Amino acid sequence: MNVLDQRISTCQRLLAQNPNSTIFASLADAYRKKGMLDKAHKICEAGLKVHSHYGLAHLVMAKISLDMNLLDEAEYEVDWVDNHDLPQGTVSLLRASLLLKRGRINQAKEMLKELSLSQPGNQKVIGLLRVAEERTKRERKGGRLMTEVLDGLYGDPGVMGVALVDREGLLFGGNSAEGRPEELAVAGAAIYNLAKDGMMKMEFGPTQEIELTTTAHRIWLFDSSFGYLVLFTEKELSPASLKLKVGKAIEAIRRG
Amino acid sequence: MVVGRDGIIIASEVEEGIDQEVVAAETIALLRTSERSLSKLDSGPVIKGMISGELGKVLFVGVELGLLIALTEPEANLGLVWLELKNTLQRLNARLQEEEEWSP
Repeated sequence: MNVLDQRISTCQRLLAQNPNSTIFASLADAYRKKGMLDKAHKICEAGLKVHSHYGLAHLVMAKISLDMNLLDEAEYEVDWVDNHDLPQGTVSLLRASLLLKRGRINQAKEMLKELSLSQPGNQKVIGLLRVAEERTKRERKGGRLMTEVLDGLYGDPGVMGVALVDREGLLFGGNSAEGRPEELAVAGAAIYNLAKDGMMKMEFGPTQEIELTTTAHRIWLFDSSFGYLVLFTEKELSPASLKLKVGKAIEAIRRG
Repeated sequence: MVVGRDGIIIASEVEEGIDQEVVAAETIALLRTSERSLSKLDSGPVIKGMISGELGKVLFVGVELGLLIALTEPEANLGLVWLELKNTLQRLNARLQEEEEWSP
């Protein structure tokens, strides 16, 4: 049994002895670290219903929401901990991660640079700064090509939104009828990342594409060398012609 | 496979070597995450889906109880699989309705 499993087992035992204990936050955090985000979210959400002012639980919830790319929820929790006297370094780090995921890279970089002055040698800060720098470079390099490719797909009848997103949920570029390509990007990355893990556990190999039909729309997700290509379309759109265009678009992105 | 919304398997017939518990849990988790993520896009509930992997595909349709899931090889004829799922869904709904009518 590894350290996390031991922690989960201990927390579960304590929670069984006292269902009103605040140990739920540690249990949720252990599940988060194990990558069992859905379970972590449920436990933390249930615990916060009872202990709504427990700061550490809000901190854990912020981390879970960030990992799940539930950015509005994460922002609410980061604001909450920011206003409730919790360690400022941790809060700022979470805020910077959130800004990165929202695609506000310059703002994130400024915050991380300040943090690196007050906490020199903090590996998390250094890691996030590196990610921010890399994204700035990639955006500069791929910007024009991606705009062309994405505009080409967006112009197709029936396509209501298109986004190219990295595996963390950061939007590289996109368009959507409601003007919210970020929402599309975040949803796409959350779904693709979960499906990718699930397919590996099922031994079905690396995920190539995902197609979901809702009562109103269809969402298509494809893996490309740059990240995920997310398409939001009318429900009745024919897959054949769209897939041909997507194949060409992915090829163009790969070549670029 | 028919899987409840809680991830519990209600009925199944799968090839040996496939861990049905994992399939059930992962597909339900995907459905939940998808619905939560897509709610921001005012898209309504997910009614069907397909995940294509290099070694196989997972297809699912929503049923009253939860999900009806089919697992296929990568090269399966998807048209036929969807048709079979649709027919199974109709049979399942008819059976459920029948049971409801006869229940005390």
